[in-house]
Amino acid sequence: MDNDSFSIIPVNRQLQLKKVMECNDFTNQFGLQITKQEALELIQAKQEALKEQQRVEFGEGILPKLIYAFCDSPFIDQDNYVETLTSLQDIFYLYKNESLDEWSDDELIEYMKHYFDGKCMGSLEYLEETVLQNLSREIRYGIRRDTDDTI
Amino acid sequence: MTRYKMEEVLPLLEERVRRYTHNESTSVTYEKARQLMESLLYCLEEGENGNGMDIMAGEGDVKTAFTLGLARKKEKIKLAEELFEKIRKDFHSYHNHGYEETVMKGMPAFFLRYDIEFDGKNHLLTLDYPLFLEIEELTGIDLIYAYLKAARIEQDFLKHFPTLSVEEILRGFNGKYEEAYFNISEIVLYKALGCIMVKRPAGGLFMTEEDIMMLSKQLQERSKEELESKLQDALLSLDKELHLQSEVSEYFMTGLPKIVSNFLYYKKIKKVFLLFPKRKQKMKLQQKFQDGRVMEDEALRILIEKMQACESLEDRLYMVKENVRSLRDLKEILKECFWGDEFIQVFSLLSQEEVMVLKKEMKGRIAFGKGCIYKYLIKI
Repeated sequence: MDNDSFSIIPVNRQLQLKKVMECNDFTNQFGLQITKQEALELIQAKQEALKEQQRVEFGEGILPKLIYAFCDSPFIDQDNYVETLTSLQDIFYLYKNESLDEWSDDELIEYMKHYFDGKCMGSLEYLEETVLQNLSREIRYGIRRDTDDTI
Repeated sequence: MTRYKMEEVLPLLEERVRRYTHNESTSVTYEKARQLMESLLYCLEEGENGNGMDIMAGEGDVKTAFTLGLARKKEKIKLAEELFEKIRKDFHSYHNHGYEETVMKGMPAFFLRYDIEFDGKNHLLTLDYPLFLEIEELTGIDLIYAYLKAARIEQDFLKHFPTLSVEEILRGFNGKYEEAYFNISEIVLYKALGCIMVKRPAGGLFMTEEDIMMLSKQLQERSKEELESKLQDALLSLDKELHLQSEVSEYFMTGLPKIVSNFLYYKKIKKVFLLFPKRKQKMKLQQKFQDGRVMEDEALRILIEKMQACESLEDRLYMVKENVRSLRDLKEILKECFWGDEFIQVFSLLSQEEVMVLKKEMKGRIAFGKGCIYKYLIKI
């Protein structure tokens, strides 16, 4: 099976759309809502990020987890919500690769959230180019592995 | 190729990915997905083939086929491990490092690290030591099991010859054979076939220089068909003479086209004689004999009795190498402990100088003429 074969694996968009839309019930309390159109665009962007990072995803995908984790961030509001989620998806897949898949989805999201709200003060650039880069370097050199040490 | 459609296989791939990531990751790299997919298909194809499930009749879904295939592969791993244990018990590498590394170091590492669940197609080993018959198209445990089966057959074949003789033939073929990568049984087989063709005992692996030249000249003049027929006859005679196990016999008979092709190649370059390497010792006994100490009568008597009780030629040769330090003792031992063609094997332990001395001492001596020892000595 070559790389192109994985990029054309049919995505269960209906399931993913349903799961993303269901998140609205929870994010309402933080004043965050996603329209159906926005959700479809996010899913499309996710597919492109996956292709870019040469990854293949199964099941409902990572979006609902990102939404639940980041919806209470003081640096996210309705105006930057979809844009931030799009960037977070890109960053997530990039650093799944960069960290050599050493961290689980939950561990990486937890780490991202911790620094996004803390040291990064909501800066996606700082999160991507400094914090996560340092993290992946440390993982590659075998310096740090445990989230407890880092957060 | 599996008979299942990709849309039937993908849900199973998803399940394998979840299992691989312990449900902790929803995505994997293309590289990892490819590995998992290949591993899945590897087991799936095993499940579809053979008995136990009729896919064409629509029996069983993809998961059942995969589960059945995985179970069969695991059974094959078990069989391969058992076979390896049998090989390991009396494995002989003849001091060839590649052979030793591939079988004795490679195989245990394989069984330790092979992952049929998630990387079944990857057999991990490069299997640098070449078999007489190359294994094509197989991967994973299928390849390793086939390799071990062939290695066992080759070991069984080599056991028909004294270790010392095999090593000397190999050394004659390649002075640094310990470091080289070629199939040992193939070299020994050619020499044994040579012995058969000059009507000498194949087990002795001994041909005089005259034999080699005469046979090379004969073979040089043969057509391809004649050569094939002669080699086939020689293989059958070898089988008969050494009482080869049926598996061994079939294995080398299957390799007849390869044997013929090799002979044709050497015929083309007019070097057929290279297929019958002369025996070459590692360390001549010359140094040991130079200032040889004569054994005490009692010690010599005990050694002779011990050797007389020993049937194995290889073991008796070993005793000579280990204990005899003088030509005087050797002459006594020759008279009492060796017979017929065995003399040649003993003489091949000696240096040219020692052979000359012996010839001089034995010539015209009734004691040695009677036992025909001198007759064999002059063949060296």
